[in-house]
Amino acid sequence: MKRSNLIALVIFVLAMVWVFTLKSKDIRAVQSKVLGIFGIVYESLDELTYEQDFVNGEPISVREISKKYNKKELESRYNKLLLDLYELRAWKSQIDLLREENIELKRSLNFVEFKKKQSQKLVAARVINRPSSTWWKTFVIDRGSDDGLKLNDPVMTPVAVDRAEQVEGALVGKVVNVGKSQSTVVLVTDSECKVGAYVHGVFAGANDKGLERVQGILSGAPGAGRDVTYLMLQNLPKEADRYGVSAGAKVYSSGVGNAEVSGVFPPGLILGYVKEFEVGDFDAIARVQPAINFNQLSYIFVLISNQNKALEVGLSIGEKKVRELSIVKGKDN
Amino acid sequence: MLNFDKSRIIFALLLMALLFASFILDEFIASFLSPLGIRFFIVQTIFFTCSLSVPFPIMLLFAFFTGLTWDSIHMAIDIGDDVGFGYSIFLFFVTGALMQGMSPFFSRGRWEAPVVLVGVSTALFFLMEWFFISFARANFIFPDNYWKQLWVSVFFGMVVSPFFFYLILRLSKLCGNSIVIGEEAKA
Repeated sequence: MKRSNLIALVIFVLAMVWVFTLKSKDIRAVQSKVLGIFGIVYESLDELTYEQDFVNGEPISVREISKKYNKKELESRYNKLLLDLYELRAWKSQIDLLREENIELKRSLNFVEFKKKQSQKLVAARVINRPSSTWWKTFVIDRGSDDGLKLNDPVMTPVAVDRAEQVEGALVGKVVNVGKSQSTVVLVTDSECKVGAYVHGVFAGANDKGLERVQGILSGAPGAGRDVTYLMLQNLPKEADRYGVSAGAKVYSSGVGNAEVSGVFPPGLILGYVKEFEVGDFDAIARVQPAINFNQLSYIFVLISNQNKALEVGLSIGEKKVRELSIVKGKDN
Repeated sequence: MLNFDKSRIIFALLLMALLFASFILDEFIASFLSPLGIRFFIVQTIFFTCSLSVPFPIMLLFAFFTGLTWDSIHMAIDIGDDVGFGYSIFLFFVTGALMQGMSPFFSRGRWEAPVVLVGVSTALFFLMEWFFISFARANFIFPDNYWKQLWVSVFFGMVVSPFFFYLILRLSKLCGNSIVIGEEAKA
């Protein structure tokens, strides 16, 4: 290798190391300088520039502008400005849309990663049909038994809680009808869809098993046809307010089932926030603000429940036993 | 050592200006091709043709200038797990060094092999860029139209490179620094 080439290579490597070790602040300075050079070129190609209409970041006076440009020039500048303004507005709305989509996708990605760590299998689905007559009751998604969906599988969506980056699973509803490639989901906003729920951070009191959670049954508000403003958390103890249930408290699914509640929903999914609290004759009722906007559901996740897997395993073991028994019987005969 | 005669310096400066212009050209071409989902590496194509016609140290200078400008324009910093600022300098260096291997052909007035190598270098640049980004993001997935973009870039690069070879030869003659062996003697 020639000596000059070797020296050039050493200088090049050193320069590359310098670039690689630049701090964010310095990189920004380099970027702004480069973009500044190209910005001047792009603007000069664009004929009209507005740089001379500003002094120290402030627009120059009307008198100065009228001195600087004649009527025709002013007209062309005004039209160009209007055109730029419309173009920028169009860009802004496009950027807003992309930003929203980006936040939603990032949230979904975090959520999937989080569930993966919990060894839970999620199937992403798109809402493909939501008739206005059953807007707050059901919708149809583009996944079915071919994708592993089963009856009563819980449906959820990621939601930002407290901070934009902190994502939790919010309960949407459950699968009530499974087709080959489509399924129907009943929403928690439906008064017939009941979920065992508890108020986060509130305990009824100590017993021998430890602290007892303040629990109730959550369902859609009866008669919610046009607008869902709240959900109903019923069967709360009368003393719930004394235990600390107050406006703003988070409500989560408890995973508990009874005669009324099927218990298909996993525990720990956020349902909403206590809005109001009312004490009745026998129990207390809390109005709950839903954690998600049920109007804007376009993508959701179906949790492929382990319960179903366990059932399958149980069935296969059962089948095996029956087969073994029939073989034994056959031998006996 | 390097021969710092005036004609060579002027020629190198002209090529530098050509590289600078390629970034402006890239901006306009991208606005037409991006909506079609096509990517054409005009900057890279011009860099490949330029790096054939200059000595190794000048090629390094071009690689540094082009890589730094490329990253300054196209890279968003502080977005987490992504490639480091300046990685394109390395990509331009590798492909530029590869192109240098063809400079004896070019100086003998043979264009076929350099044109093919422009295609090879474009593909290599494309693949290395994908590899670096995928490695940094720890996610090795080919985007949907990746192969289409690659072949289109290679095809366009090979189609337009003879024009730039011709332009560079004209510029070299204009500066009195003919690249083609024997032409200086004739002149």
